[in-house]
Amino acid sequence: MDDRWNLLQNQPFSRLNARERAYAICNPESFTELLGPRLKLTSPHLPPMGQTPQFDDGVVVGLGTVGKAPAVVVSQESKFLGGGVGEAHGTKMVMAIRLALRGQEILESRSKSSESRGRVAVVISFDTGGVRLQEANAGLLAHSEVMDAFQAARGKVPIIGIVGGTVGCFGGMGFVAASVDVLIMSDVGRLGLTGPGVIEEVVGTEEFDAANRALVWRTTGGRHRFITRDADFIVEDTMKAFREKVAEVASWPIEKIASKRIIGTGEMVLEQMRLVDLAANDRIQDSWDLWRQFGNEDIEYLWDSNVSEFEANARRWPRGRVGDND
Amino acid sequence: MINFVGRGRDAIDYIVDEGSFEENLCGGETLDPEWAESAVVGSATLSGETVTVIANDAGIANPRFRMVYAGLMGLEEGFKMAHAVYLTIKADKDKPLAEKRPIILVVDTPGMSPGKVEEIIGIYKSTGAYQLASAEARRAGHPIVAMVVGRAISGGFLCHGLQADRILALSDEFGTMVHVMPLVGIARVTKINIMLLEELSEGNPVFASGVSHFYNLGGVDEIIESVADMRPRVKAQIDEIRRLKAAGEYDKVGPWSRLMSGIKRGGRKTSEKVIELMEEEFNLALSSWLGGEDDGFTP
Amino acid sequence: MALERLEFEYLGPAEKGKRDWEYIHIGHVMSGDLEILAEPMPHEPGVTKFHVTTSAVGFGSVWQMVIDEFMATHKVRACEIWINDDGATPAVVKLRLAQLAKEMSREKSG
Repeated sequence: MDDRWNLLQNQPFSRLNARERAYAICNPESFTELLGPRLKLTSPHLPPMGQTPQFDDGVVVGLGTVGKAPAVVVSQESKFLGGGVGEAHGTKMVMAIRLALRGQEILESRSKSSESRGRVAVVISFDTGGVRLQEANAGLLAHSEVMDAFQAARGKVPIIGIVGGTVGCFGGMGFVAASVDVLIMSDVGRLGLTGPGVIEEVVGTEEFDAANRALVWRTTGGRHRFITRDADFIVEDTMKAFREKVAEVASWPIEKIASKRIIGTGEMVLEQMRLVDLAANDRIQDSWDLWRQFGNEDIEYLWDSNVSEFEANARRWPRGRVGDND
Repeated sequence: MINFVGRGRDAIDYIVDEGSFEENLCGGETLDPEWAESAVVGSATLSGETVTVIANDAGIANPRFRMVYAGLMGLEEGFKMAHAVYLTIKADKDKPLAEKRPIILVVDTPGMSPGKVEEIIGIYKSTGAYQLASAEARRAGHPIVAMVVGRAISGGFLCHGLQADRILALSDEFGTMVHVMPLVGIARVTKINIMLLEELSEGNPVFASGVSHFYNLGGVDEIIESVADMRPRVKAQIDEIRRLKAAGEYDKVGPWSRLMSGIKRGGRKTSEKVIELMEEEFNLALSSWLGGEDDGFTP
Repeated sequence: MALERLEFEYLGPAEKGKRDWEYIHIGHVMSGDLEILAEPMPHEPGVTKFHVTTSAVGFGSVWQMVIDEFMATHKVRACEIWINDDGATPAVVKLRLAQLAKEMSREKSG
């Protein structure tokens, strides 16, 4: 029995490091890291700036099994430079998705009992502020490479995203997370493009008071993202909760997984435009204004309730498509 | 010297057949002219062939969203551009590869709108949708060429430019700006001495602003030295993209091809090692990961 | 501004018994913290090598002291220890090294 794996399952996901998350999201003893710390492929750009590099460049990538599916796992480490995407970090992410596609092609090329072997899935744990400024240009380009790889994976390899770390998912990685097939968040997780601190700095405190933690969480936190359906699931902040949800989703047929997407087709653009309309002309001042519009009455109760109560009682954006209101 | 910063709309006529641009006409459909007016979309011809054009007009603010001005991309702008791309794909759905109409991106945007309401709704979906649409169009065979005429900055460049097959940029003398953040900003956020950053940027294209740095990293495919060259070079790139796609060489266009150029040009040495080592380790781990050819997959 | 690189090497009697761990990795590079990577060096049974990369320049003697102390308490042999440090205090370094020793013995016992 894998004691370390068992121990990790009951830990808060948010407190684990990227390697522990990658290891424990997979079935026991199934995770093999690629380009791990032993290869010491550190960023050559950081030392001249006086910044100590890290052996994995802030992201753990590896192969494992999730439930019955072979999986490629990407897990960002927010402790190192805020999870910022630099050159090596970015290329590791891009390669992970390309290799998942190759793995799937190999599975498909084996005629015999291909379905019983499962379908390769990509699992990405986002914990990042986006581009690493010390390697800004390479980081930016890596985002475009990841988005392209996502599009290449469409309908072939499902991409399951997780946002449950202490930094959350901001900057360019915000739209990468929005482009996955299924997104799972916890209460700790936050998702956005421009971080609260940046809005405050660029526009002013009257636009966004970044010191107001409650405001930050109700604007970017998992509960709000669940209500607007940007997050498909909200789970408890435990390793086990994330792992079970990922394994469940990975077992779905690819069509069902793809139906959870929020962007990526012309119809979805028009659908999202309806949500945007609700906010035009300053009609929305606060995320809770939206919650009310979707029929949530006792918002304080929803906010304070535990995750399962919240999930059961929250009224989500009626996306407008049949079968989406479950 | 002519300068297109803030004048994306004016630049259109220098790139397509002069006077051919019809705003809001997209793949045969006419869009509401009052919808996100700073996101300029429409049809034009280039050497007589119909193309879709997408640009920013920095002179128009969005009256419905007060944080959208000066060419910033807001919620509606990104979705409108994505919509234009999807209309383009739909219009040519049944056409053969050689007849998929090109999409020309005229790039001059300072970035994404940093507003609170944008975060509440989730502006990442707007920029993400536009990128996915562009990647889909590119992979469906539409040649996409981005012509950077002004500012190509951070998230703005990511959604409007970086998903193109090829990216051309007017050289620095035209006031072109390509970066994530100016050096002073990087110095302030990272607390690294600005003088040191300036010194390092001379030998390393990885963080500093400028067309030539992006060229060395592969992020810009070609630098254009004169305004008169824009039209023929865009046309030549479209022809080249078509040739590559006809041969099935989709990895020789788009973001992945730029990563390869960055390696070739010496700007992305670390990426080269990452790719090589990950391939190697993946191949070694493959049989235990997927199971052998005949023994079936056992979880 | 550039980083400082320090090397320390220790010689002693060869380690007895079989070592099970392939490598051990601990910690993170973040302000006031460090990462440690330990790799076996079976061809040099009596040698321990430390490679330290640190952003805090000019503290070589402090490192020497902390690592000497570590080596005096723990019989760590035949391995190479790589440290990436971002200004950790001696107390944090000691803590991380103690964690390393614990991992080594834990892994050894199975």
